Amino acid sequence: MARLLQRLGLRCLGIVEQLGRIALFALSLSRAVLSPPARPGRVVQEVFDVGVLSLVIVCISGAAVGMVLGLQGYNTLIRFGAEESLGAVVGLSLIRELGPVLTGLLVTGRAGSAMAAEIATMVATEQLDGLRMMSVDPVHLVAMPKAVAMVVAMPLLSALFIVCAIFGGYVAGVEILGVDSGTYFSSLESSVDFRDDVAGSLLKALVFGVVVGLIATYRGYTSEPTSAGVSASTTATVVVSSVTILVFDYFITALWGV
Amino acid sequence: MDPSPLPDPHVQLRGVRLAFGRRRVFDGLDCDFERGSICVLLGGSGSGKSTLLRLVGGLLAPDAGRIAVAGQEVVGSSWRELREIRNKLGMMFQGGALLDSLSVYQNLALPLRERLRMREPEIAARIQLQLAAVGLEGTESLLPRQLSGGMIKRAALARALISEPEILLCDEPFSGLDPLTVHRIEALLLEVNESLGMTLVLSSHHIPSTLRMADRLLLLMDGGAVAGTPQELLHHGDARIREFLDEDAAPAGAHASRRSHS
Repeated sequence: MARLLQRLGLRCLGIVEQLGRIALFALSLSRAVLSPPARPGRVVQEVFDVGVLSLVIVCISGAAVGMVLGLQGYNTLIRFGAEESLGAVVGLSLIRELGPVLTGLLVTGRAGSAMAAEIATMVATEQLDGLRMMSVDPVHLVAMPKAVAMVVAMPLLSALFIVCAIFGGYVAGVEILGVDSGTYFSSLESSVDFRDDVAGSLLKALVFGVVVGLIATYRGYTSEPTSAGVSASTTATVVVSSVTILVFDYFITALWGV
Repeated sequence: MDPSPLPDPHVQLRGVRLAFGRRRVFDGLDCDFERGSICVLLGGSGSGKSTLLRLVGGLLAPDAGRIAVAGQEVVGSSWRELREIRNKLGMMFQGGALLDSLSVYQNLALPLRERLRMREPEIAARIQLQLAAVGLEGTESLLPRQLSGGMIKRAALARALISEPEILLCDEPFSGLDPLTVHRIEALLLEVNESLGMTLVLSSHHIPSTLRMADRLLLLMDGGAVAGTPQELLHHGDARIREFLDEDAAPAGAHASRRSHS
């Protein structure tokens, strides 16, 4: 029993220590954002890597999710004779929940893992040590532009996901199942509030961008300088970011009603 | 162990202890690298040559002991203080450590932009000179993955030298190079040592070039070090030391004798 408690205590201390390290890393990232030079060129390049290269996966996934929602929503609503509310059901579920959450998970898998792997490879090949020896802060040159790019790209990708999904819902509901086009859009328009729903959705995506950007850069930056370290940091980024997104989603919804 | 202090140490290590887990690498290491000299670190694989260079650069912290670079304490320094120390250092890593997302030109420009805040025309001129010195003209736009192993080494050396540091740390500068390139790199290192008075600390397994270049050798063994001139170590009382240096070596101390004549 004593040994069990001891192990539990050690585990808890380990988690607290890890959280402390992440907080310190977040602090150094924030300091890097505020201190010159701003490195706009590198940030734009990273936004391209995170955002533009994720466009296809986000658009296709968005359209597919929207079509499934259209089909499932129609089949459920028709039981209650409320198929004219399909636009509202598809729009609200996408804008308030599925858009930011699924985009967060998709971007974590595509860009977050790549980000962690790239930084971890730089650790393994002594590139970050090389920067330190040139008196260049690796957090400023390497991690900061990637984290900023993730924060910028996530809300934009989430918005794009939602637009594609609403279009997918339209194709399934209107074009395939025969719901009236005007009814679909009017129910969508009348039920969605910009401040509560759209701004809240963008805020959620922004928070997810911060979470994924921080976890991916931290995991890469603190990885072991081996090939196993690269793989471990990549896996940890995907797992920890995905779970954190889902947990944060609950708290944001519960606390802010978004 | 040879703690005999040198008259003008540029880098000084005292009582350095370091262990990786249970493996003790340094057990109270004392050594000095004299200002303006060429010192070559020798030793078997895992004896701590690269580790010693990383300790001097502040990339690793010892478990105990003091390390001073140009009189400034490395151990326990803040990032700002370390930055000041590293402004005096150039380091060539064994694998090159070039940023693989940047071209050769951008890699060489990095210390000039970030450390020396030079203007673009001056940067371009200095890069041309440095690339010519290592025989890499015309590779400016290439990415590191488009270079051979030897070319990466030379580009890394060019990057380490380009800001003209006071002290150059080179980790295995001759490994994987053809004999002609070895001679070229040797000549370049001797030139910067003589013309700029740069202190060179090299780790090497290449005994012939070591004996041609070195003013002083530091043989790492048993957690400590044996230091001396090439001649002293070639005639050392310990058979292990003589055996370590007993290869098809060039005439020992050629550089030293050339210096004494000049």
